[in-house]
Amino acid sequence: MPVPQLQQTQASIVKLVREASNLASSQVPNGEVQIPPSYAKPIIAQMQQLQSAYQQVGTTVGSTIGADQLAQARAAAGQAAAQVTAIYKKAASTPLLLLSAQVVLDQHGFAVDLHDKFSQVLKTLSDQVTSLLNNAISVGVQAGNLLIDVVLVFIMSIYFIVDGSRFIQWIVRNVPKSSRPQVSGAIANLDNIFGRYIRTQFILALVAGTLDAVGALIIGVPYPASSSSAAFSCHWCRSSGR
Amino acid sequence: MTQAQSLRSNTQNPSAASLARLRDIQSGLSGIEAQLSVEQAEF
Repeated sequence: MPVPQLQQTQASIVKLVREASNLASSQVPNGEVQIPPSYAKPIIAQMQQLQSAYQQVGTTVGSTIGADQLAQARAAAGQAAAQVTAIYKKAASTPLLLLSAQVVLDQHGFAVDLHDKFSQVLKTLSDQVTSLLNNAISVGVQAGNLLIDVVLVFIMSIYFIVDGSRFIQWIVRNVPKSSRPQVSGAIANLDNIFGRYIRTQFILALVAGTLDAVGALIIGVPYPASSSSAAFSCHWCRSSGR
Repeated sequence: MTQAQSLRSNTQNPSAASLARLRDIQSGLSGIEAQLSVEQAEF
């Protein structure tokens, strides 16, 4: 390999190492941001590896060792390029305020990577907001369903109370004439049985509530009235299907 | 510059132009990598 070519490459590497060393300098050209020293440090380290690997090429040129050193220098150049690309991406995705804060932290010797911390905070925040929204949607859907149920039950109750007898007459009118007495009797029986069932369940709930209150009073459970009301409500709700 | 404008500009990411020195080093290293490939071929 011609010596001038070797010297030219060496000079280019030295120039790049100098440029990398000046990356974290506080005197930045107009319109540029200062690169934090912790960002520049790994670049400089990689460039110095490249420089020392290539210097060894110069001392062993013309032998097989030189070829090995050249391969090492090329690998070091690839690693340095990858490092610079990674740092470029990192710097380009860090807000200016955080870059400035990172410079201050580096200058005072605090080993904190604000970019990583900021990413973690954003991820945590995003997870929390997502979880909150999911919960809010779930609660909203349940509240909506409950509201619809309540409104439907309310409206149907009004219709059945006001127009219950007309509804039964309508059913009876729409069956064949020959079957009307049987249908009418069946509906009357059903009404009778259902009414008895509700009355029975109400009485049972009352009995359960009363027994609960008496038992609570006997064994000295605090707030027997609340306990009795709870027993009545639970029994009544279970009987009425809710 | 108002405080709102200052906050807005500080929360923005640096532009490509403001990272020119990093890009220079990037392109310089690409050149050296290419040069080393040529030298390796010549060896």
